[in-house]
Amino acid sequence: MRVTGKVFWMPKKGNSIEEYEDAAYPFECFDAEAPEFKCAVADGATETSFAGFWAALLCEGFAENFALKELRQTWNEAVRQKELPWYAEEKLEKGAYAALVGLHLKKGRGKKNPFIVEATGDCCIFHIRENQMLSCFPIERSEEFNNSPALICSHEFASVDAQMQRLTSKGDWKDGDTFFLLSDAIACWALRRQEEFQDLANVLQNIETQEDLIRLVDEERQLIMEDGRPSMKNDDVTVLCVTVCS
Amino acid sequence: MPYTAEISRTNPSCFLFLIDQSGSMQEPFGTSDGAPGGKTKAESLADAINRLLQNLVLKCAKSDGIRDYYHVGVIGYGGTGVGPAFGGALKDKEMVPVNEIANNPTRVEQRVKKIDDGAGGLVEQKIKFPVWFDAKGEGGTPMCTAFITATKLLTKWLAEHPNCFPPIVINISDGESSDMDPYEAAKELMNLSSTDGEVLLFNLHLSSSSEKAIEYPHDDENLPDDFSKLLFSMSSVLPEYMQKMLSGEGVPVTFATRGFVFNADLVSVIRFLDIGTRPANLR
Repeated sequence: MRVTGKVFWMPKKGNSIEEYEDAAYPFECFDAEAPEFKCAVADGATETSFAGFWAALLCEGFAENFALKELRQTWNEAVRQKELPWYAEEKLEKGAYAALVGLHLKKGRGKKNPFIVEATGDCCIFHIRENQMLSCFPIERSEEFNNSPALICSHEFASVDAQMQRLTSKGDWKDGDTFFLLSDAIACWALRRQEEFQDLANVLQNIETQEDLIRLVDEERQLIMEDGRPSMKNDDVTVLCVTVCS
Repeated sequence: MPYTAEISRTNPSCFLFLIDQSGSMQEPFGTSDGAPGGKTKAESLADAINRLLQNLVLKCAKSDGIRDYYHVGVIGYGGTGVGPAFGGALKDKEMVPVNEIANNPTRVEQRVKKIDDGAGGLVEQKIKFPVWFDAKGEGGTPMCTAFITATKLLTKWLAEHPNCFPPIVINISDGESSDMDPYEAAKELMNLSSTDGEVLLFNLHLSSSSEKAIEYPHDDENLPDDFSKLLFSMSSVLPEYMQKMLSGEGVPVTFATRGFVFNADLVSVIRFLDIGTRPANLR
């Protein structure tokens, strides 16, 4: 099985590169030959602290099969290195939160080649075949996005985990299929494109370089819709595109 | 559509608190069970403003420090007049970026709070509790002058930030204004606007009444006295997005629901502030 991929990202307008809090794994373009392959995109929640670091840990953890418990321990050890002001300490006690979508591709033994998707929160995956969207997961309609999804927390609190929904989906891939893993702002925008113009596959496949992404996102952030909001919400944006062949 | 402007460091919004420091605030704070030996209204006010400031700071805190999404002012009104109420390093400052609030409490106390132990029980945890205001109350209640002062301050702010998310003013009082009827002055304040909408005025009524707490009513039918009714009448109707958030938290809302609470917590207002993703399961 050969898997090739590209990763493009940009921070929220007005924020520096250091303030980008999405994550992807792998985080660079890749071309791999393997019987199975895992990748992920995560989105650290703005209102929480050390969220970008937590998002990066979740992506790597998914791809490299680390247990959530191990990831939580790593986060906690890393962020408690020095004396902090009262607000930073209080914020740490609340933990970091992030959405995650992960894709696991396998080379099948028979005719079918399976894939499994895991998702918590509002990062999304789109399955494209022959320029058509076959499926999207875990959110299927643009109006389902909101600013308060239940996310994965860096702390293990019963009440926090109880609300978190880890959803899974399964399917089969064929030669040349492409999967797009997207963080929420661009995923919401892409779904709306699909609802209005049925051209989601085209617009996503047209993102071939980092410059393409920057141009698209800049334009859509400036385009104001009837309700006064921008066509694409000003947020960190991450696109992980994976193409698979047997 | 109003109340959609992005709140960011380049386009910050503003919070202005008006706190009643008059003599009547030394009266006991009402509890719905009528239990004696409780706090004074002034002590309840100090708790309320400290918690509001603490939550506002936490909203803007990130791993690398505080992001100045808001500028904050606190105007006190009481026997010593009307003016900026902060002490210490913030003394006499009318409006400061939120990082200055974060880094200049008058003291940080060590308190204990009970938290979920992850196994269905509770454990005690020591936390740092910042204090900016202590209980204070003397003399009359120049609430009308406080609104006039707030209007002047926000007129200036809005001239400098014409496209901001509209300023939110929170007035915390027992409602017993002594200078004039504050209604017209409050309305003038609420008529100020940015390109994104009118200034929002919310009122937290601290009363000695033992009536049960009331949150976000849509009419004044169940309010216990004329002071409540006055403060309700000069509270803004919640913007649609805030109504939706409240509704999502299980609070019954209508299109007439106003930013008013009686002997209750107004910290929920801080949760309504949209600066990005807030996890639904954030404790």
